[in-house]
Amino acid sequence: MTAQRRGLRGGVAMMLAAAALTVTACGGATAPAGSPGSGSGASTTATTTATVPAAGAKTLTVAIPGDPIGFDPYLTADANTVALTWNLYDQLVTVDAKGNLQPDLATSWSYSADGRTLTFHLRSGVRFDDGHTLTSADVKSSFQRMLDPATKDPDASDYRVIASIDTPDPSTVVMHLSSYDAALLSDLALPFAAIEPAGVDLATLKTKPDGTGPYELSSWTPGQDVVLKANPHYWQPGLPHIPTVDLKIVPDPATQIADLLAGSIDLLPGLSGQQASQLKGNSGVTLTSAPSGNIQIMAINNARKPFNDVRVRQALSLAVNRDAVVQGAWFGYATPVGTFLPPNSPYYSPQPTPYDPAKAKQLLAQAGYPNGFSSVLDLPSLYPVHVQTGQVIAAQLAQIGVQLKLNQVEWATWLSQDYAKRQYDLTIISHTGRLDPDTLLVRFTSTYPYNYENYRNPAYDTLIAQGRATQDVAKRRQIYAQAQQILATDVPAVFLDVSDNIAAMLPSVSGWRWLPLAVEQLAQVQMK
Amino acid sequence: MARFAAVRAGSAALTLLVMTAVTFIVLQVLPGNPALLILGMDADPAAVARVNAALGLNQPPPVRYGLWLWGALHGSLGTSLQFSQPVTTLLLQRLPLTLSLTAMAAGFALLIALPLGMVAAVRRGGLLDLLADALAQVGAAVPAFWLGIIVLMAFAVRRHWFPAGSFPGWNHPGAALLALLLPAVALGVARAAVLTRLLRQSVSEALHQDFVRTARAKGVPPGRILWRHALRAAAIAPLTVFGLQVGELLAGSIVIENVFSLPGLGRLVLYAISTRDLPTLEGCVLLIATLVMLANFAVDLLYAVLDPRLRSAA
Repeated sequence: MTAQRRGLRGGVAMMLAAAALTVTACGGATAPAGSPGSGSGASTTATTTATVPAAGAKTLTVAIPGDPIGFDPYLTADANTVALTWNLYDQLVTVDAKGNLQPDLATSWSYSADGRTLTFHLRSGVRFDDGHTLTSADVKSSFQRMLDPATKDPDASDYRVIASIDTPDPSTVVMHLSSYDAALLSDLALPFAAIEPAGVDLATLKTKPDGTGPYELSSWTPGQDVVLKANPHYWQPGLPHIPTVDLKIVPDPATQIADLLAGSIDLLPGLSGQQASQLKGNSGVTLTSAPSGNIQIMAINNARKPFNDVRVRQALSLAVNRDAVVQGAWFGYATPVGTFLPPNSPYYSPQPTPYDPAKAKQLLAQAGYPNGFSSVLDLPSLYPVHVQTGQVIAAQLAQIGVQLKLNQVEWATWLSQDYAKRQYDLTIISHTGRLDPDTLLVRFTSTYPYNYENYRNPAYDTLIAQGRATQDVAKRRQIYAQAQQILATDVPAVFLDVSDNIAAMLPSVSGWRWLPLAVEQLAQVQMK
Repeated sequence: MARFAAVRAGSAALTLLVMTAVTFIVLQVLPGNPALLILGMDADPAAVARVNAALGLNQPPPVRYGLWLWGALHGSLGTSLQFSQPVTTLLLQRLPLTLSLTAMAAGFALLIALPLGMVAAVRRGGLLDLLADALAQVGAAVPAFWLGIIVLMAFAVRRHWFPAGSFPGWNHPGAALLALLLPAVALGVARAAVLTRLLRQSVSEALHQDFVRTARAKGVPPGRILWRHALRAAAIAPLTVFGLQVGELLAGSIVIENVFSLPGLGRLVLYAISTRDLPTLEGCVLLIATLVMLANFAVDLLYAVLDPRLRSAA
């Protein structure tokens, strides 16, 4: 059934490409730009229309692949959810497009000399959707709730060094840390560290979010859409630009493209390379791409034979032609890598990715497999790109005698069997880097709960622990360079590529910017 | 009559019980951890364990099924694991769409099949008969999801006559019905094909029966013979199939709602399976099974209307 549908999609792709050629002329068929001043009689002064350009009854329609799991960023780490809540809440700090930390609800912050105290000064005049003004009490209660085991926050362990919080005055927050944690400050810029209001019924936040962000929730009809409206009290002057955003839930990739070409959606964030290649050259659609923090790997179960032999794992890495994967699965929208950090990380240390099947065969022979072996490659069917990558890699590995049986696995099964229970030989998946290098590299430490590769290397564990405790950036970079070298030699997984974030939009839409986080940043988006 | 109704109700209750039990068992056999699906890939295992406990998922399966059944008998279908909304609310939100889609698809099927089947039966071997036959062959062979994508491309992407995929919501009834038109057609074509062939067959058989000859001999006009006598006698078989088709249409809506991104019961079913959302899935199964049984019951009543012999027997 799945294979049938996939074949079909290929056909649709060709049809779409054909259709795209004919619809270029009507691609921008959305509502015409409202002439300023021609709005309702209520807008009396000319200045209001000038500062809020074309603030008519405009709605930006966006396609998203699935429903959020509620709107409380403390209750899930689900990507669809936090991509949305990013627009409803603010954090103490945020990031710019280059990944540098920027002020958000905190205007400034400083560490004590020993790195055990972190002080924030809060912005004044920030209001929650419920109308009350942000104070240090809101920040304190947010982290108390997040770290309370009863909340069941899946990300709480990233913030576990926060031992206690003092609020000497309404605009100052002092965090006392059990130890210095180099990742903490950038973790505080993640959507998981959103500041929630104090003194409200927190159980309702899942369906009735109450934040300080540029948008507030207007309605949610599961399976249909999420409607956001601009927060009239948002602290950044002039933002957001668009009064209403309608996020339609459109799971099918072919339908997403059809919707965009038909003009029934304005913006499609998170395209696959295949979708982007269909739209390329279509003058009715603008494509914006930027490297993401998404690293695709072929995970190897290091505890299983023959993968417990490092020569076998090295052979796999040498026999994979990453350029062919980038072309075949990502349609060019990716960059090959040989390590577990993306090139846009300041801690990235490039590792060679030679394609050398002859040497791979040699290594296999040394390991006792001169004729290769057969194994099973699990492919999560929810992600067509991983399935396509698997097909490309299976053909490549067949050339060194490694026969892979492709086994498509439904997502819930993959999560429980391959990922949580570690029952697999080989599988293909992407891991999303957050801001700090530790969030990715820690995955290969022996004690990490989801080290599903079963990789164990005490030297590596020590380096990662050191890196997390080191304040000096240059020294930290050195430590992580060493760690990445170990990964390149030990090959606990075959590191394949870093994909691009791609968004497609109608020409009337501008201001979309990708952050190095998997979030949808709507406040800056404008419509003609 | 009362005994008939009691037997009928009893078998309906048993069917529902078996269906929900099978659904429960299947979801137990499938690997998957609902808490991990809710919390996300990077979730702290301690939080996963606490969520599983909070959802009652660490209780033995028979206890969980028993609790669900007890709730259902008392009118509570529980809360969706993924949406954290009452299952009843979710079902009621989505029922209108699937019912409208099914009704429109069934209506479309009748609209095509009735005239085409009749004409083909009267003019056997004629051009229209050939056309009807060809249409029926193609219609039955083309899968609904493929046809769905084709009409989507043709009428929503190339010509902007219809919305491509996203549903405008019931606040705009006109636009909502328009959004259902293409999927209804895609869904209805195969049923129209089957019905056309069946009608052609049974009507042309009826036209050769003795009572038609008698009516003709009595001088009843041909139109009246066809529509009142022959169709009435010939309708039993197509009607039976039409009743079965309601079930097929509901099943087909699972696929077609996904192609057109329509927020109906069909998509809820698929979502509930893929997220291991047991209360939601059980609610969907219960509702869809009830709808199919109601459709079959309606067909049984129609038999009695069409055939006086069945009326007296009941």
